[in-house]
Amino acid sequence: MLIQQLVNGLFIGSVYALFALGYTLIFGVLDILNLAHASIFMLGAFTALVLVLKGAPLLVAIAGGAIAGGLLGVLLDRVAFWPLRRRQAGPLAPLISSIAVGMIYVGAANGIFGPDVRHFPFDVVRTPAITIGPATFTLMQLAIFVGSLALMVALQALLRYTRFGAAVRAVAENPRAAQLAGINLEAVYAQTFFIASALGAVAGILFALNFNAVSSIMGSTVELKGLAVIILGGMGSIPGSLLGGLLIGLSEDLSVGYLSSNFRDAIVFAILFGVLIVRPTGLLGKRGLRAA
Amino acid sequence: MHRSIRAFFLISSAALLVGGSIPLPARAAGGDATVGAVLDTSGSAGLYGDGQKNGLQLGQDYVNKNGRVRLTFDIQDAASQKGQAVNLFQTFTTGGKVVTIVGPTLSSEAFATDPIAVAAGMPVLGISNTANGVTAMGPCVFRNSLTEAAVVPHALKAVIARDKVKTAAIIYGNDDAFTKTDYDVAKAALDAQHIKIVSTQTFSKGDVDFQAQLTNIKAANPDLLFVGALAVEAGHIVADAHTLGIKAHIVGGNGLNSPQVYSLSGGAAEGVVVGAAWAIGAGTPGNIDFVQAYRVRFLKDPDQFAAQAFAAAQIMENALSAAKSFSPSDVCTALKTMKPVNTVLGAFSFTSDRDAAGDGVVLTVHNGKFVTF
Repeated sequence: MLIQQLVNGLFIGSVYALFALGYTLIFGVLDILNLAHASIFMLGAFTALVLVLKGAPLLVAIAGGAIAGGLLGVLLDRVAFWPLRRRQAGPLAPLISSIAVGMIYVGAANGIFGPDVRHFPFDVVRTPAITIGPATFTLMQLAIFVGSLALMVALQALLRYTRFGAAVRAVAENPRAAQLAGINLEAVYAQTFFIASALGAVAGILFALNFNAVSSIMGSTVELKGLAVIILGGMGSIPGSLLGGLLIGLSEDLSVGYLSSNFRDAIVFAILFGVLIVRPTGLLGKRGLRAA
Repeated sequence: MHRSIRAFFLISSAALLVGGSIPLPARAAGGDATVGAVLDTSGSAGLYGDGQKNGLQLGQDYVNKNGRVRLTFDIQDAASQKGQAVNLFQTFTTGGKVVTIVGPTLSSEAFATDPIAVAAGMPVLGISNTANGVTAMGPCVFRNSLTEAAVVPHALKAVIARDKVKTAAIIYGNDDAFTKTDYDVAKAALDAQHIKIVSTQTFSKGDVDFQAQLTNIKAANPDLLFVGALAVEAGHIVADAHTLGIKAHIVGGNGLNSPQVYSLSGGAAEGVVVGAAWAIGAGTPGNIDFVQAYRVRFLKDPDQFAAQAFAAAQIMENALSAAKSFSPSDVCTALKTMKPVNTVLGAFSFTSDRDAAGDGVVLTVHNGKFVTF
């Protein structure tokens, strides 16, 4: 049973980590929490669902959902953050305006798709079950796990080894100095929002494929967990998000398996609390985005 | 002049004090009546409230075409938030526009809202509240939804007898009055049948990942798995149980009587047994016409929530046409003394405790459809 619970925890933890990357990327660059991220997670899933129902292959639908999520992220930045950034508003105003845009996105999805839970056609998502020793999982779950890890590695490489990544890290370190060095701040912000939101959208699509359910309120399931992941892993740290996501996924499943399902969230937040007492910056908090 | 204005305000204030917040009788019976409806058409329970809204709209049209009174449902969205449901009940009970209230969607909301209607003397008709103790809140609190206590034991008994069940596991939502009631009722029924409960697992409303709980249940290897959940969570549980290779016979209550359970589980719900108040294929009066009209208008199958909402319109029409006036007390009396009414749920009457009378039906999923067990 332990192996099965570990496998369950790793699968769901990888999706939490991918979702939390969007939070951490935007926090690392702009020092703001984007609470509309969960609504983009949901809209990415709906976009992919619509594309699949129109006959698109699954991979094309995932790419389409990611692009739509990215564009919605850029729109979010222009509507919720840019006007406040221009006026040099404090950190609280963008937080509230992101909540407002998130509610608009959820309301729009509810208006367009209704409150029903939608699902992908089963011939698209049904994959054979694989049993290895005591653990059973589906090929789709394995693909989601591998895909999530691959995206995280790709993001890390993008930030570390490309010119764009250097610009992002420079802006994260000191926006004023980066601007003086000729970096277009607004372009970096827009690109950061695009990438963070596209990753959030892909997380939403993978989550929806895993449970085969898409609904306007699906973001609320991961919203708080995503925040817990970045705090546990360290605000602004990409490896921290991965570690935090997997730890939260594992602690959820192991607490249900060996204690009681009543304590699932309590255990997760007790671990978070304990880590913050010992390491207030989170597990990998010191490294930060600028060191990516 | 000033004296007469002061006198007017004094008399008006005295009249308001005497009248309190109880709305004045709307109109004499036989006329137009507005019924407030507090439903969760958005938020986490939006799936259920949406069907209810559709059912009430169809019921309103049906009554206005065939009935003896003209009925208008003032449908308001509580957004799956208890606070909003409370606000809407306060608005309806003090506004003087509605003769009674239908709703709210969830039992947990009803425990917060119904005392407001009771204090204002306004009748309430619950159309999906199935937790224990709802109608005990006041002498004019009614419901047309069969309780879990009425339907679950029959479903369990049927499966236990057929499959010679010795052990059972239970998974239920422990943060919702409805699903907690499911657990209480199922445990009592299993204990009464001397079935050993080998694993009890819980989850929270809105969860989508049940693999950890079901891994525990698989390890306990029960003959029967009772699911105390609403349709969406139940769909995921049934799908996950199938993926993990759990062979136990799955049984549930009213919450599982929804096409969503089958569609979300992708066919894994085949063979699931539910105790329920209504069956889509039932030959109850007007049911086939109701199902057909629903499909034409909303392009999907109705669920039990929609059927109970439609039946609420039929019950309201009957009570309001028999009431001496549309005052809250006369409407309450008319509901209490109502003779059995033909509805899509069957011949409907209230028990002396204002609950729905009857044992419901035991259904099983066969070829993707709910059929009689």
